[in-house]
Amino acid sequence: MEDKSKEQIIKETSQKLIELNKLEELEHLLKNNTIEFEEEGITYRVRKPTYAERQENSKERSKRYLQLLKDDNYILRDQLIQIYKKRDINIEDMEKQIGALQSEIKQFQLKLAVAKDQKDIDILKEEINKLMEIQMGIIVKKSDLLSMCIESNLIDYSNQYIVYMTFEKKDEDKWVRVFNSFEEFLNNESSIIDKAVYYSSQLIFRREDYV
Amino acid sequence: MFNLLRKLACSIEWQILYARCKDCNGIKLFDNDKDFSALQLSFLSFLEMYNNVYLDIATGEELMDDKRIQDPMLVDAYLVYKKEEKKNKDKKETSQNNTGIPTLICRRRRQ
Repeated sequence: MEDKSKEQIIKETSQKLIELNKLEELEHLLKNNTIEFEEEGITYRVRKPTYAERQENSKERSKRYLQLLKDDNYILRDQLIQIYKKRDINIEDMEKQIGALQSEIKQFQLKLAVAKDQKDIDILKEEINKLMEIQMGIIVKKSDLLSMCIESNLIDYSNQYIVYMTFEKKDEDKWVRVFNSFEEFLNNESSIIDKAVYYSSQLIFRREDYV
Repeated sequence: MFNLLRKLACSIEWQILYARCKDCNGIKLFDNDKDFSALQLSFLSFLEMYNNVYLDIATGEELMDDKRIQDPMLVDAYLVYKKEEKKNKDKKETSQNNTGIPTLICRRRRQ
């Protein structure tokens, strides 16, 4: 067995401790369908929206959609794709590439599943990681290119509105909204909002929603 | 985040808890027993996924063992392989069941 240096042992132990802390935090997040956290002596929480709040969000989203449609500065996804096409950026080709890479990844996975030799396993894993990285690069690029369209804008707006409605602080024994209006929420630049957005995303969006 | 979630779902502690939960109604995984958060739902699907893989190991699956199950890439590859194998088996069974005999004979009436 290889002898490990003292520094290496310290590094590995601290990495394990960091992971243990993260696992503990994750178990805390899993405990309930609300997430509580403290900041400067105030207890905050984010929770899932109620049926009435989902209805309110849907109404706000429709309002915003009509606003964006009337605004000449915004265009729909399909229109944006056509504009990109004229500039030799093909979104459909990107989608095809993502699909083709997935098929290639699958072929390597089929080989990896039956591989026994550690050397073969390492090579196949490296190939899969390489392809996944390329695929993720295209997914991110596509998402960046389409982030200016009305549909993406609407998703962002709707997500922010949900956070505004479900972000609460403890006031004596009651939970009250942190911000009195959506405008107040949007204009606030404190880091507490980033935390609320992060926790809210853990409660509301599933893995497949990110892709 | 998802790698940690998988690690937790693969752990013996959570697997035992999950198995007990399936067996008896008194044990709860979370404080809430409905209206699950997205994170809880993802965790539940990982628990089920690892539960099935552990079951495969227990029933003598050659391609998986206690060491390989700890590696998410090997587990993903194994699941893809199993899915593909099942698809091929289903396709084969469908073609074998196809006898070529029509179930309904339609004849044009002579005028």
